[in-house]
Amino acid sequence: MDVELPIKRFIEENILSQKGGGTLSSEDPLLESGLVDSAGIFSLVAFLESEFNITVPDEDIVPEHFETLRSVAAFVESRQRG
Amino acid sequence: MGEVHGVHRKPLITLSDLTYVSYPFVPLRWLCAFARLHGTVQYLTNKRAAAVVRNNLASANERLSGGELQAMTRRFFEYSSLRNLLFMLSPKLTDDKMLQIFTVDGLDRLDRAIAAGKGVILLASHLNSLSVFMLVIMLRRRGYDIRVAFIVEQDNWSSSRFRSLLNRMTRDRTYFEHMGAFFCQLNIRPMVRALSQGAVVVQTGDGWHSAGFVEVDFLNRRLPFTTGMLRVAQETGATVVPIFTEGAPPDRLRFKIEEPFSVPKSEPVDASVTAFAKRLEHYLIQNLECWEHWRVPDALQTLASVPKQTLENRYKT
Repeated sequence: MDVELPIKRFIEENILSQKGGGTLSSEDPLLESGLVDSAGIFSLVAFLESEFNITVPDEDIVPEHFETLRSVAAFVESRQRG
Repeated sequence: MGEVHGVHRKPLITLSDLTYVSYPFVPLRWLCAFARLHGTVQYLTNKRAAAVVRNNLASANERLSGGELQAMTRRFFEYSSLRNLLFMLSPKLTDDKMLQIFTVDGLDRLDRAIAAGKGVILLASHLNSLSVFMLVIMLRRRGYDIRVAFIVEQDNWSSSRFRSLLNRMTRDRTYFEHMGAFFCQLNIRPMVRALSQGAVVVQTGDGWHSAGFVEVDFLNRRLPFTTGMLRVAQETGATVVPIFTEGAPPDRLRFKIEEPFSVPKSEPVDASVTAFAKRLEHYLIQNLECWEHWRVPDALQTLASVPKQTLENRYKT
């Protein structure tokens, strides 16, 4: 299953749309560019948990897991592997 | 505090500890006189820090004369020392004593916001920062579920070995415990949980440790202000209650609790951030030497550059 695509769609439709829209590439910086803030991470994590049936513990909500679309996907895959 | 190869070593005892145990044996007015003197000595001996504050004050108000700048810089250090003292003592101060130190305007507004039942964000600032924690401690004693969100995990105020021992012996709590403090940085889930329980969460709206910013007019420049708490309010539906602390320590502090508002989901938070910055500017101009950010070299320039810094740097404390 492609992990990156649904995450990309979620961010574009629910977070970027509030900032005038736009498309996201795998390596666009999410946090440092201000595209996604801490409230955006909150809703993104809720989406990841329901979409991929994973649990994201508080201690895993750190910048390195949310730097780019690719790093979010890699984080999800690592949680799926357990 | 010593730090050796990344390992934090607790100090044995601090000046704050001595002050803490000396009250109420030493009258508060004597301790205040000592704290003011401590601030004056810092101003006179720490030339570099004094120059930083003086330059910042000059950049905030170019019409200040050299004499006015010197006097304000000295007061900055004195007030800072007094705020520290009062906060340090606050677990021991009775409500009556606290109400000799500060007044509270608009507590009914906070009560109204709490009654709405959506959780409350008490949006404070670095103007007379620390002082608001005294109010938090007093309100918690009166039964308010009010908690402070911190961007650090460690309670550095209770960190000495002496204080740890004293707390164990007297069953006193740490400052974090007195304030119901919790750690919250990029992960806002602890804050959302607290708000969903109907708590009042205290955070600052002029902090620099943030992932999101909006540019606003502030002190005759365009400066980025954090969107953090207002975005949380937008996501959760929590009511926002701004609070500003004007006046000066030790006994002329006034907490101004302003009109509650909510942040609509359908609109960007820009207007709410701008409105908060405008109110802060109003209070800051009247209490210029009371903004804790003036300790930072080129404070306004540094604030302007924050969004360009890495997130890791922004979250550094």
